[in-house]
Amino acid sequence: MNTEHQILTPELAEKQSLRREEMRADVLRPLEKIGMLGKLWIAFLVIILLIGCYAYYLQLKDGLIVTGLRDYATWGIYISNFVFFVAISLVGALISSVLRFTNFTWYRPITRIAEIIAVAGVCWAGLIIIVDMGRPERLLNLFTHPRLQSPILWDVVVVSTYLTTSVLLLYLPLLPGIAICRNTLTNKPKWQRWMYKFLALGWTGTEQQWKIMKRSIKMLCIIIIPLAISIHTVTSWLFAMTLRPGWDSTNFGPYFVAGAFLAGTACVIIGMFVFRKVYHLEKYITEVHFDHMGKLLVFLALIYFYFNVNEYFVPYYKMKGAEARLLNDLFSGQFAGLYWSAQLFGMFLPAVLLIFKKMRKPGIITLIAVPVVVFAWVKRYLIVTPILLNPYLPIQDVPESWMNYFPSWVEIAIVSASLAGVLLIITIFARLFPIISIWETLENEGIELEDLDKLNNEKA
Amino acid sequence: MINNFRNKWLRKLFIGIAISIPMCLFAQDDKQAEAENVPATMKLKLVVEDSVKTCKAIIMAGDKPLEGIQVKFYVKRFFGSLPLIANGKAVSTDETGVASVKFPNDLPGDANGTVIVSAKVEDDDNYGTFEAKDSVKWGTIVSTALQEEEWNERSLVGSGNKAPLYLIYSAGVIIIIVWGILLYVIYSLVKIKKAGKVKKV
Amino acid sequence: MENEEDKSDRRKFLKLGALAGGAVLLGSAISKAVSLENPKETGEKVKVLTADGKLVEVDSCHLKHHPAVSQMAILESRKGIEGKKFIMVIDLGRCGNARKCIEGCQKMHHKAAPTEWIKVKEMKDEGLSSPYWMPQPCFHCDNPPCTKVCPVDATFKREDGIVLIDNERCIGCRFCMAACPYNARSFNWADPVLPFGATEEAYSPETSFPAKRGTVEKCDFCPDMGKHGILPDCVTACPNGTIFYGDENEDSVTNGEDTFRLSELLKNRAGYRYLEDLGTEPRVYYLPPVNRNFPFEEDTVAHNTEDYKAI
Repeated sequence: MNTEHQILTPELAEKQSLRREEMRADVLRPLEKIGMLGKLWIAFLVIILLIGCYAYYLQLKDGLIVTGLRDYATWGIYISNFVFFVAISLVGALISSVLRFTNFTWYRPITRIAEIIAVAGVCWAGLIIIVDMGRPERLLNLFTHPRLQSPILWDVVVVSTYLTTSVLLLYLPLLPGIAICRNTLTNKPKWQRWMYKFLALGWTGTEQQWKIMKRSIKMLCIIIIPLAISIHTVTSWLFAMTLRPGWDSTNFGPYFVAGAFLAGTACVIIGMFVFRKVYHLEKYITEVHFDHMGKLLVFLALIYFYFNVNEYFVPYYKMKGAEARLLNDLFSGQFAGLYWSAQLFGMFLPAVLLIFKKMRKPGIITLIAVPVVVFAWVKRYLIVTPILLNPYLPIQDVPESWMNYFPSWVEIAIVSASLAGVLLIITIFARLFPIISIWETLENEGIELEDLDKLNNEKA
Repeated sequence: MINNFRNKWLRKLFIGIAISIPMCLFAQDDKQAEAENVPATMKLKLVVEDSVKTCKAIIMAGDKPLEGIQVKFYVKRFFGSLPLIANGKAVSTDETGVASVKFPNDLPGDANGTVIVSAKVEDDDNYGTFEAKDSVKWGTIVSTALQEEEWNERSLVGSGNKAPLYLIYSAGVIIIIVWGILLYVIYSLVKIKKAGKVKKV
Repeated sequence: MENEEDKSDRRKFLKLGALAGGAVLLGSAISKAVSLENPKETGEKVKVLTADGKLVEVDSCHLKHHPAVSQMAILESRKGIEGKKFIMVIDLGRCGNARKCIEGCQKMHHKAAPTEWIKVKEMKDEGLSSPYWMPQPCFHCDNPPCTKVCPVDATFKREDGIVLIDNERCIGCRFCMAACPYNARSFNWADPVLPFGATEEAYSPETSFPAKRGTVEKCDFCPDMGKHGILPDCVTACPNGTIFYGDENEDSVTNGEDTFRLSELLKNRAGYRYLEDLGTEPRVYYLPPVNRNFPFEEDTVAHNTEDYKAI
């Protein structure tokens, strides 16, 4: 975008075409054959998914009694997981849109990784929230008897809108890529070839097609920013709109959004590392990218730190009644271990360590990013459970199982399955489509595929 | 502990009976004759005297007014009977056989302001239990119009079809704009397909 | 055993008093109840007034919370009983943690432990102040945080002040449970244990019966009885007359024995609402635990220890 527009001489075109061919080969190579390890990985994910399905079958059969949830801890890891998935899905908007409106171009090879994480995350967010319902068969009541005053309804609207936008934002820039698959991967099974043909939308790279695509992407990039902020703010409102000490916070919206960007960016770093290694994309996802992502992570961790100070230090300073009980529980009580680990490994350490350039090397930064993601999940658990276990009225004279919450194996199996489901979507996508956008990456190198296509089409 | 209340109650009853038996014996001479022959009658008069609403219970045995009878006044409520004197204290009849109590000006009645007042003599040593009741339009009329209006108001706590208009409109506008753009983008996909075909032909 | 007898004696007595008001309607209800099915005789006889003013003795099983008593269109049950505004006053000075309100409520609503729609909590407000027992039903708030968040209109505020749940609408998201700052709501985590034949009975939000798995439930202020002038069981079951129930529009509350003017009671006894600051405007008022009927005794027995029996 910001590169100088060169005049395309035949020699230059020749050179650029060669570069395109090279990259096409590099990007499509992983799609040609699935190795043994790749098959095992998919089998592993499918098995976890199936175990989760069986666990959900048990839950449907016997009711939510099979979970560790009871009247006080009425929400548990299903909801934590929902918030987590919504959180990581925000990174799609961050990478492909927020950065697009800056003058940076380095992010372009990783947009697709970010987008597929977003799509997979928001898909499973929608599914896991259904799992939490006591009466999933009445889901349609949301549409036949909607109550516009309920944040859940807002969430339904925003999640479905964000899913649609994310899918479109994944799909549109993929069109040239699908066309390449259609043209190149002719030895694939019939269904796959048919799928490429169908999804490519007859892409031939005409001037008109490029123009419509780029304009559409621009429009999506504009609306996805408010959408991303809305989806996570509304999700935070599921808590903040209540009167419970710990949730009754006006800081929740930005606090959630900041945490989401941090968690999602860490996910993308892990994704970058894995795809770079497994698909041998060192040429395209370079150390520079990790370096930049490291800096971004520091920046986001600091912002998140700022909101954490507001979220925890401000009430701690006041130690107001019921909230004091909760804060003691988090700072020095039964949740202290999890709480401080989450703050340390999920926020402090990455912010401090990644300041050093050496730490932003692919391997090390991934090692730092993994706990960021893990503790981002834990943090969402800490946002849900301790608050429910510290209500205004004391929890008295109830069975032992009501006073604590520990997820049952059914819950753990279902949540694991949903995590496996996210990975499965990403894996299968990356098995069928190029995980790096060729035209966007080359644009970064000053090669406009639009112009090349124009030239080729003219020739033909 | 659970039975404390009951036990107390029982004990009171016991003591009451224990005391009243000898008292009855002493009282027999002068009162028993009348009591047995002429049952007490009670008339309840609900009158406004000097703009004070007054409930008067007149207790007579034949044509002789009875003095010192303990009368309790109640107003019928939907649940139970509300004593007109706090804590359900009784009023004693005077030498004309009249026990009276002021009816409060601010006590709600039914939709028409009607209240049912009753006067009760409970467990009188000589005359037993009897009561008289009457209805009168002394109660204030509590308007439930406001209650209904409040309930019908559009609000955040109300039902789905009573969502606040600002919510409906703002949600509507946002949804129309965003989905308008999305549908346009989806339509662009069709245009992309067409744009490819043209070139081929 | 003796306790058991006392209770049933008292129950008879109280029921008799309370029933007088709604005699006509109940008479027909009994006949309906009898014609609908033949419930198991409990042997416990209860005196009731029939439509023609006769005092008859019937088995207590005919007096259960029966939907036939209040068979009402769901739509109508969403609006409420016209002209009424139900209210409750709980005199903390009278509560001695007898837990009869809990038992009465559980029996009437066919709830088994550990679900308690009314709870009795040991409270201690300030550092040096003395502890007291606090019965806690649903507060039926006038600004209910629970109905605000329901996505499908399953829980709703009625014109008569009562907050109810339609368990045929409820999707079981439990947002209302999270939103209720008092934890007044319960969830049917497993299939509810219901009396024989209950599933065939027509459901009404007013009776909250029969319960359904995967839906939220809570204290319903017993509107099906209230509309006939019958007091909720937590009120009549209390041996200490702790709980007063009534109609705000009539300015009167009663515990079955004593009846007070609501406004005077609240004024004279410094009535307050729990956590007024939250702005939920509860319809349950408390009278401070002063002039207590009982000295505070620590409860050494854990009552509600058993978890669900299912599974």
